[in-house]
Amino acid sequence: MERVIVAHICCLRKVDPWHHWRWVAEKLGPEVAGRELDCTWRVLSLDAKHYLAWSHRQWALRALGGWEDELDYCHELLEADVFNNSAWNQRYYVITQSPLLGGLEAMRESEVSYTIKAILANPANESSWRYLKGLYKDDKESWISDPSVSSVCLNVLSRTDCFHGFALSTLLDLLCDGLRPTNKHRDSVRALANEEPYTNLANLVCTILGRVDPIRANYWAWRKSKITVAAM
Amino acid sequence: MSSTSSSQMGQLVADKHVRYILMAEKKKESLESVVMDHLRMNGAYWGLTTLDLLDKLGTVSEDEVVSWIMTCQHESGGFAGNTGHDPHILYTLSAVQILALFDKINILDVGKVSSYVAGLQNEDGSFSGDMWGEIDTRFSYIAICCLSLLKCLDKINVEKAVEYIVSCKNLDGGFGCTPGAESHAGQIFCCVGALAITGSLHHVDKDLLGWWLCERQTKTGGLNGRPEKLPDVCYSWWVLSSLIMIDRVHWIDKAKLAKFILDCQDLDNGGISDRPEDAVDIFHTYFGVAGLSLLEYPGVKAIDPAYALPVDVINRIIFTKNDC
Repeated sequence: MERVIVAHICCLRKVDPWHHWRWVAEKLGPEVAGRELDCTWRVLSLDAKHYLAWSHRQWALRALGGWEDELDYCHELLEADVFNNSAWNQRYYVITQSPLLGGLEAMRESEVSYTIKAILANPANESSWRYLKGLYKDDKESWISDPSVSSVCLNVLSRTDCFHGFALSTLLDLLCDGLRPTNKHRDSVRALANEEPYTNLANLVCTILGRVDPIRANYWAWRKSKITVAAM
Repeated sequence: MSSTSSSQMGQLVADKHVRYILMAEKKKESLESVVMDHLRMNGAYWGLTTLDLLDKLGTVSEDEVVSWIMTCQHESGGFAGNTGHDPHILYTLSAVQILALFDKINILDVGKVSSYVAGLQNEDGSFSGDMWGEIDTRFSYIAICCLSLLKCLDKINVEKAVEYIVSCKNLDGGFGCTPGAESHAGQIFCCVGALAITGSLHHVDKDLLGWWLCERQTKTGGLNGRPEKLPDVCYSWWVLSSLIMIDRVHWIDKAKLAKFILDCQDLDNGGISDRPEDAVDIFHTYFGVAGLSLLEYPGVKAIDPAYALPVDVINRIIFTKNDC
């Protein structure tokens, strides 16, 4: 009932109602956690990327709790649309903020496995590749030494039926962060080259990126100019 | 409905857009006007700034606009979206920006307006939109931009304001509305703009954010606001101004973006839409022209990427003495 009254007042005042609902909910306490999550669920079922609804949902979890089912909820949304960047962001929010999980490092292995599955199903998904990198926040060593990261790049590069841009840029990041390339890496990349000269691997990756992602040619040219000896 | 141009780069039909804006101003009983009634102040800022960018500000009655603006001021010092509505930081900035266009900031009780804005800062450095307390980094930008135009930035705790904005920085280098919220081009503009105005851009990882921003360019040439969303002309402003402020604008394909904006014009009736073939509105007309300004399109005045006002207006303010 409070929500109806608040919505009516907000309509009259021509203001956005989300903050007012928070104001009311804070007065009512944690018993309304389920109700607030339910409310955002309804909005997100109509528009799964609704920015204010996600902001309200994050507030509700922080202020009122209800973390138990949140990871499952993210999974549900990603099953419906694996390209939903908001759901990937929320997943990251849950694994880093939930008091019920062990934090980023504890969740890393299972999340890497989850993300790789998503990447292999849709390699042209910017969100999943960014999420993968995010799992190694502040831990460059693990990022370059985890074989599953390197091998998902190789897997995608060996396919002929998909966009290679994100796999290439991830490999470029790995090389620039200190990954020692193997012959597998070199062969994989060379197979994509169109008679482009091989000076060093990172350099070749940038050249190919300039071709497969031409709208960002200037960016890839800049990346090429920044390659240090360590990445060769 | 907007019509597409030929496959070559189209032209900016500036005169048609001027006519569209002036006609919209007159249609007070139209459905669009009634629905937008409460944010008329924002609409006025979008329309008038566009006119100034096209060097046609002289076609409106300055006295009429300025007196209407003053009827929107609340006793607290803040401005409402229209006469008789409640004050909010959103409309307070628009009011100050419009007065800046007309070089009429001097009619304000600057102390009163700046106190209203400064009073909205919270202990953690964030800003609320109004007395009801909603927090969003948009309001951080609005407060900082507004107080900077009024030369009263020292009325707030700038260090804490910056600290709060930085707490909203995400792993991808972008910024959200609150800590942990998804990076969004509109929020990024607000955070980068606020950091630029306060001389705090060293908190931005320019290479990382620059890449996230240039990834907003889709195959159509248009820019979206988040991964996997549709391109929209308004991001021609938010993404582009952010890229310019961090000195990375050369990472997008400017020609393709300009063509996308021009393809969103209604070549017959004027106005610009969010994407080709959609209905036009004042909001997208402003962002389209502002985007073209940032792309240095001929015939459009230069716009300041942080203050979202013509550069000559900002220069005038910088060289004017002001007592806070």
